[in-house]
Amino acid sequence: MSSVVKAEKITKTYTGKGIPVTAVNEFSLEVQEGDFIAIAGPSGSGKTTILNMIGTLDNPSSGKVFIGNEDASTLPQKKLAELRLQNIGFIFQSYNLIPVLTCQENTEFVLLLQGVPAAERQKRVNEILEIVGLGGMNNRFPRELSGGQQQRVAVARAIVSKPKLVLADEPTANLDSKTGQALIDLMLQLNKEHNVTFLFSTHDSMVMDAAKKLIRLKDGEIEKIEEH
Amino acid sequence: MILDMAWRNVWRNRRRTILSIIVIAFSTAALLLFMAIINGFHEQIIESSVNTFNGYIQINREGFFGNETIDGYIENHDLITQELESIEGVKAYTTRVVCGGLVSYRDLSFGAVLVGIDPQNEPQVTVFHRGISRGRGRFLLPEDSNKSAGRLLKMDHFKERKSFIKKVQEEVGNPIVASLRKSFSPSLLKRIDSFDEFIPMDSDLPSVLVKEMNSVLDKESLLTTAQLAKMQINSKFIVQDINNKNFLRANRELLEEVYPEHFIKIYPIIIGSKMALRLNADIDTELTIVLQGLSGSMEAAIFKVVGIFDVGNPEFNGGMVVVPEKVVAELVGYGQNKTSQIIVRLDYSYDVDEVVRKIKDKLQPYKTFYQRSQDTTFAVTQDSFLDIASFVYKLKFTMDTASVHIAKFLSAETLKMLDEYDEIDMPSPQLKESLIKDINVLLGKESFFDDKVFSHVRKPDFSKKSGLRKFNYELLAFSYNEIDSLESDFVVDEQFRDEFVESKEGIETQENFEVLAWKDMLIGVIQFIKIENIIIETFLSAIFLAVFIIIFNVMTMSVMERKKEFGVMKAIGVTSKRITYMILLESFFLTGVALIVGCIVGLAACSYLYFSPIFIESFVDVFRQGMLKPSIIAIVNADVLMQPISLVIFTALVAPLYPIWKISRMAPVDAIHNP
Ligand SMILES: Nc1ncnc2c1ncn2[C@@H]1O[C@H](COP(=O)(O)OP(=O)(O)OP(=O)(O)O)[C@@H](O)[C@H]1O
Ligand SMILES: [Mg+2]
Repeated sequence: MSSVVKAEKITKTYTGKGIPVTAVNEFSLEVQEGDFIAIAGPSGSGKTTILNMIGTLDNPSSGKVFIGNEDASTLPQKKLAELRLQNIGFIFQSYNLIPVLTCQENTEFVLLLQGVPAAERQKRVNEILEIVGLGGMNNRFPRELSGGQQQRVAVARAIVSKPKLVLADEPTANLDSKTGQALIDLMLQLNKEHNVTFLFSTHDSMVMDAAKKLIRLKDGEIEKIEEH
Repeated sequence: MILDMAWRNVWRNRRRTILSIIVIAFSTAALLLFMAIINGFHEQIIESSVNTFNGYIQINREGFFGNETIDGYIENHDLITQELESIEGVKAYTTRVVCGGLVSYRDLSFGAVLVGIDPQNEPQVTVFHRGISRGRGRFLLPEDSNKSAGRLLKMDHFKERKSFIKKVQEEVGNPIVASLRKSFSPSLLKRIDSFDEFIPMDSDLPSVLVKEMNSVLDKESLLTTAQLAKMQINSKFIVQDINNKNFLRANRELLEEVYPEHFIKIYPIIIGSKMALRLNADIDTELTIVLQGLSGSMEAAIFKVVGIFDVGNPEFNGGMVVVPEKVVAELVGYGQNKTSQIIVRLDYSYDVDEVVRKIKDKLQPYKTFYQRSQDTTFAVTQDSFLDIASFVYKLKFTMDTASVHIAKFLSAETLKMLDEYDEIDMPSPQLKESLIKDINVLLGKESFFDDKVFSHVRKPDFSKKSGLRKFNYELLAFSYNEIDSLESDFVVDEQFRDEFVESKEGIETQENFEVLAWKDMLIGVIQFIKIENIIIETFLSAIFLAVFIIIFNVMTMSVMERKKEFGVMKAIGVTSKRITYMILLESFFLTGVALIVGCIVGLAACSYLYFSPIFIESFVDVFRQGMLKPSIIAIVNADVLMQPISLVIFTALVAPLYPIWKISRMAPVDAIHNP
C-alpha cells in the first residue's frame, strides 16, 4: 500500500492580536490508498485546520505535508494549485458549489481544468451523477437543489476526477441525520467499490462509527486512535 | 466555461449591472456626441477652407502667403512637381496663378482675386468644383484652357475691317473662305470682289459682311457636315456627333482660325455667388477684367460667366473669380514656366507635417538657374568659344560674380592683356591662349569658386575636387554662354557624368520656397483648436474618471462578495491567472454591453445632429472671419468612434485590477473562511 498523503508533526499557531493560539500541535498522520479515516473532536479542536493543511490550502507553522512524495511547503502557489487539481478532491462543510454553474458544469469543472476531452467529460459526469443519485439533474443550478443534493454534487465534484484523496470537512454537518447517513453510505460505497481514499472530519457519532479508523482530537492534539 | 461563467457572473446582480451599464453607456454616448461635434467643427473648417480651396499643403515662393502679388512666382514649377511625384503621401497636386484684378460689368467694378486653375487637376486636389452644385452653371473644363467661349461676330470685333474684306476677296483658294463665299448673297459677293481699297471705310460693306456671316453661323452653317469631315483641318474640329450647336461652333472656330484678328478672345470664368449678386451678373454675362502684368503693363480681357459657385465661405463667394490657369498666365506674362503656387493634396493616412518636411527637404537644394545643358565637358579650349571676343569683352566689363571671381585668379600677365584689350579688334592670340590656360588651371586645380562660397549649397559634394570643378565649369558656361558644350579633348567617363548631372541639381535655389501645411494657413482657427483641445482633454478625463469609478466599484463589490467562491475555485485547483482572466472578462462584458448601448444611443444622437444641424449666432471670431459656418453639426468618423471606445475599454482593463490583486493575494483558506 502506498502513502497518499503524509503529515509530519504539523503545528499551527495563530498569532492574532492577543496571545498566540496553538490550534494544532505536532499532528502526524499517514494516509494510505483506500483509507477511510475520520477525524473527530469537539468544536475548536483543530479539525478544519488539519484538513486545510493537509489539503495545502493553509501552511503549517511547523512540520511538513507530503502529497505523494512532494513536500508541499517547498512549492509555489501555482504548483500547489496544480497539485490539488490533480490529486485532491474537496468536500466542504457548506457545499460551496459555484452558483452560476449547473450540476453538470460544477462537476465537469475540475475535468475541464485538467484538460479532459469533452466526450470523456460528458461520460464521466453522467456516470458520477448517477452514482451520487442525481441522474437527470444535470442542468439544475445549485439554488434549485436541496442541501443534501448540493452536498452530493459537491461529492461528485470531489470524486469525478478520481483524485488520490478526498478531503471532507464535516460533510454531514448541515444535513439532517437521514440525509447525512445516506451521504456516509455513499462515501463508504465509493470507498469500497471505487477504492476512493477519504479523510474527513466530523463530530457526529453516527459518522464516527462508519470510519475504519477514527482519530480523536482534543485541543489540537491526538487523544486517541481507534481502529474499527 | 470561464467565458460562460464570466458572462453569467455579470448578470448575477441584475439591478446593479443594468444600472452601471446605463451610466457607462450614457457616458459613452455623451463622449461620442461631444467628439462628433468637435469633429464637425473640424470638418467644417476643413471643408470650407482647406478642402474647398486652400489645400492641405501649399508651395509658394517665400513670403507669397499673405502677400499674393504677381512678382511672387515660382519658376520652372515642372521641376518641383516632378519631385512631388516621388514623395510618399502626395496624392495629387495642381498649380495656380493668383493675381489681383478689377472685375467690371456695365458700370460696376470690384476688386477681386483672380485665380487661374488647371481645370483638369484642380478637382483632384480640392473640392472647389462642388461649389458649383450649390450655385449655377458649370465648372471649368480642360478645353476651356485652349478655347475662347463662342459668340457671334460684331462689327466692333474687326479691328481692321479693310484687310478682312481684302482677305475674303483674295483667299478664294482657302476652303473656308470658299465656303463662306458660297453662302454670301450675290450682291455682297459682287461688292467684295469689286472692293478696291479706295472705297471709304464708312461704307456699309463691313457691316453687311458681318451680318451675313452671322446669319451663316446662326442658321445655315459655313461648311456642311460632309465638307467638315473631309477637310480634317484640325482634329479638334472633327465633331463626332454634329448637332446644330456643335456644328455652328465648329464653323465659328474655323472662321476664327482663318481670321484670328477679327475675333476677340472671350474666356470662360466662374464667379462667386456673392460677386454675381454685387455685379448683377449671371450665367453668360460678359465681364471685363483689368489687371497688371508682370512687366507693369495693364492687361484687359473679356470673360464670359459659365458658372457661379457657392462654397459657403463669404470671402471666396464675394471676392474671388476663377479662370483657366493658362489664360491668366498669358495675361500676366507668366507664360508656360511660371506659376504662383502649387497646391498639394495628401493621402489621408499621411501626416501633414511629415509630408511638408519631406517636400522642404526636396526643394531646398533647388536652383532654377541650372536648367541648361545636360552634357558638358570640363576643359575649355579655344574652340569652346563661339565668339571669344565677346567673352573677353564680357570678362573685362561685367561685374557679375563669376567675372569678379575669375578675375581674381587670372595671372598678372593675362590681366594686363585684358586691361589693354581695346574692344575693337579681335583679342590677340596670346590673350586668348593665356586666358584659356588660366581658366583651365582654375577649373582643374584651384577653382574660382571655393568651398566656402558654397557653404550654403547643399547637394554637390565639394569635398571632392571634381564636384567643385564641375560646378565652376557650369557657372562659367552659364555666365558666358559663348562657351558651348562642344566636344573637347577631355574624356568624360560615365561615372563622372552621372556625378556631374547630380551636382547640377543640387544647387540652392535663388527662390526660397515656403511649404505651408493647412494649419499654417488658418492661423485664427488654430487658437480655436487649441482651446478646444483643452476642453476635449478635460472632458475625456472626466468621463474616464466617472467610468473608472463605476467599474471599480461594481467590480470590487462583485468580487469581494464572492470571496468564498474564489476560495473554493482556488481549492479545487484554479490558478490565479485563470481567476484574473475571468474577472477581466466580467469587466469587459459589462463595459462591452455598455459600449454597444452607448454607441447606438450616441450614434443616434449624432445622426440627428448630422441631418439637422443647429445653427447658432456668429459670436465667435472664426465664424465672423467666414471660416466656419455657424452651425453645430455632428460628424462621426473612425477617430471619433475610436476615442470613446478605446477609452472605455482601457478603463475596463484598469479598473478591476484592484480586486484582482486582492483576490490573487488571498490564501484559499482565508477566502473560504471569511464570511
Ligand atoms: N484564522 C484564525 N485565527 C485565529 N485562530 C483561529 C483561526 N482559525 C481557527 N482558529 C482557532 O484554532 C482552533 C481550531 O480551529 P478549527 O477551525 O480547526 O476547529 P474545528 O475543530 O474545525 O472546530 P469546529 O468543529 O467548530 O469546526 C480554534 O480554537 C480556533 O479558535
Ligand atoms: Mg471546523
